[in-house]
Amino acid sequence: MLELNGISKVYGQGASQVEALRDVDLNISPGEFVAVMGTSGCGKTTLLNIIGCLDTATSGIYTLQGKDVSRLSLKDKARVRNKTFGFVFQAFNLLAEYTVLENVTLPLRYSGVPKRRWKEQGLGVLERLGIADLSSRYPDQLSGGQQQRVAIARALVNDPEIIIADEPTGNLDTGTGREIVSVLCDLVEKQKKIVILATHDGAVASRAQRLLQMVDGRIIDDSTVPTGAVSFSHPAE
Amino acid sequence: MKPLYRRLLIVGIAMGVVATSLIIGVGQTLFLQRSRIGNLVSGAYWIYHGGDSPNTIYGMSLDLARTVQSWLPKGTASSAVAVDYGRSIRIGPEFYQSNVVGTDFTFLQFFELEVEGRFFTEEEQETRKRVCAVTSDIYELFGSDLKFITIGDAEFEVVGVVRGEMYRQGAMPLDYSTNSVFLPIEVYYSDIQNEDSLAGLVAEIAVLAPELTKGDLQRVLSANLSSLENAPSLKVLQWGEADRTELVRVLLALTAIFLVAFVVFLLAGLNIVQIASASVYDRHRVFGLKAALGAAPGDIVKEVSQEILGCALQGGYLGVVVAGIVNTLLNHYVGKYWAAFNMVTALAGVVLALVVGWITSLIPARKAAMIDPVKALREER
Ligand SMILES: Nc1ncnc2c1ncn2[C@@H]1O[C@H](COP(=O)(O)OP(=O)(O)OP(=O)(O)O)[C@@H](O)[C@H]1O
Ligand SMILES: [Mg+2]
Repeated sequence: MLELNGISKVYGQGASQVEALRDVDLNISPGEFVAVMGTSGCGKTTLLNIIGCLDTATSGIYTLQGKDVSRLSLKDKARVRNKTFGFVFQAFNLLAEYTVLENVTLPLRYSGVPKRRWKEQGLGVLERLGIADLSSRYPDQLSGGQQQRVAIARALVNDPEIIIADEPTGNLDTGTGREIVSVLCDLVEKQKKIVILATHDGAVASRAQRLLQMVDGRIIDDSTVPTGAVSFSHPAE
Repeated sequence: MKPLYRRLLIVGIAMGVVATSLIIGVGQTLFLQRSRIGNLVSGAYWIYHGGDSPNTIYGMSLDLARTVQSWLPKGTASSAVAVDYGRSIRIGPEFYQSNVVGTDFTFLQFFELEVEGRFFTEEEQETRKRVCAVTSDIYELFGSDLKFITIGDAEFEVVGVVRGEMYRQGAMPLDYSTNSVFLPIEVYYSDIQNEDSLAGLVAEIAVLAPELTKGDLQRVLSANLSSLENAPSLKVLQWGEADRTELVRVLLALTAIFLVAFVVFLLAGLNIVQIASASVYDRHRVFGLKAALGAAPGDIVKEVSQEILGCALQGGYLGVVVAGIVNTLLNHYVGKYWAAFNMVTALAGVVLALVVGWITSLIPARKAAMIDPVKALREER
């Protein structure tokens, strides 16, 4: 599905040069739930941005669905982001002047879906996530957990194959964070989507099947964990 | 877009439209009136008895007028003119208000006129016949019934009808084209005003002297005036000169308006570009997010342009309304010189606003499209 070969990313020039990623190799297949862990500044966000076609690698080859992504134009990259990826951010990034439904249907504007189908499609995702009743509210009328669910709905509205979640629980309390991760787990189990999640939280990472450990721009450990094996790390509910 | 930015943008564009409509209106006026500046009637002059201020005019006596006329070189046509405005005249049983003009038989030479019948002749003037010519509008009112006109106690035979423009601004602006009765000036003195030839009823002497310049004429006057006791201060005006003086005043005012409007236009232009840019900068993260969610640069350019064009359209309507008001006011002030404000101008205003909006949106839209989603979203934390 997606394959990174010798990917490096260098920010800045000269003395202030930062090597955010160093020679990263990675393969991810459909139905995988991948967690990325590591200390602050180790390159998690950079990795996710490159995978999500938000950023371009300085060197290396990135193949997505059999195609070399590094040569795509800005326009084509935007199309790939729109169709193939769904993004969930730590800060939710909902637009304050839009209702929940308008926020959720935002990606449809750029995907050529006719306007008359936006509402139906938006309400459909909201329903699947159990928050259809919030559709006409504004973001500041929602709790953090609700906002992040709306953000997940927005990420799913175009039915992408890959969900990129950069510290999706970072702004949430433990309980709410766990619920959000459960939503993401469901996507992998029931819809065979790829979820790639960056986190500082071991409990969150333990819900994934595969755990990448990063240090200083390198993946130093890539281990597959059998599902359920880590359930001990959760307090009983 | 923030409501404040929206409003500023609309007002800015409206200002631009008003300024441009002024620039176009004034420019058009300047262009059209430019030709009138040089439009003096060569060789045609007015001699009048002027006071110290340009607005003071004294009448001349018929004696003085005749003396002055005798100073003119041989072959120079001239007519003394005395006018009674709104004098009551009687035609058959009906009373009527009209301009009664006492003048010389040469008066006809000063205008290009059509004459039915005749103007009064030299002989009729010398023999003090009670004859007159009327303008065509009076004739059309009464038709062939119009044989005699009674003014005061005197009855005048109508010998001709004159048709054509007899307007110019002299020392006193005069328009003889309509509603006027012309008769010999001596008869006017004695039979209508009951005055002798020393009464200062003569407003002006019209002079046709193609071979003389204004300077020549002034020299002729001053040379002869010096031999007179209590010499009156006679002044010379070339035909069209008073018109020109007023026109120059109006054109100067219009040029000033033009310059002010131009500065306003430039400021408004800078302003709207600034505001449009600020409104984009303000929503840096919004555009970054939209880009992350799949908006291509073209999508964002379209979004920003549409937004600004929406403002431009509203600003255009507002601008056209305000421009209409400003135009009406100017019209009041500069009157006949002002180019009309019409549907075409209004339409041009809206189109102009859209063009300005489009040009304005180019830079901000491009800026918005070039926002790097990674950087924009990183700034949040
Ligand atoms: N635009 C940039 N310009 C310069 N350096 C950058 C830029 N973006 C990231 N970096 C640097 O690259 C390195 C990796 O950053 P990255 O954001 O990927 O880390 P992270 O693992 O996501 O950290 P955190 O856990 O704090 O989110 C850091 O040292 C960071 O300072
Ligand atoms: Mg990060």
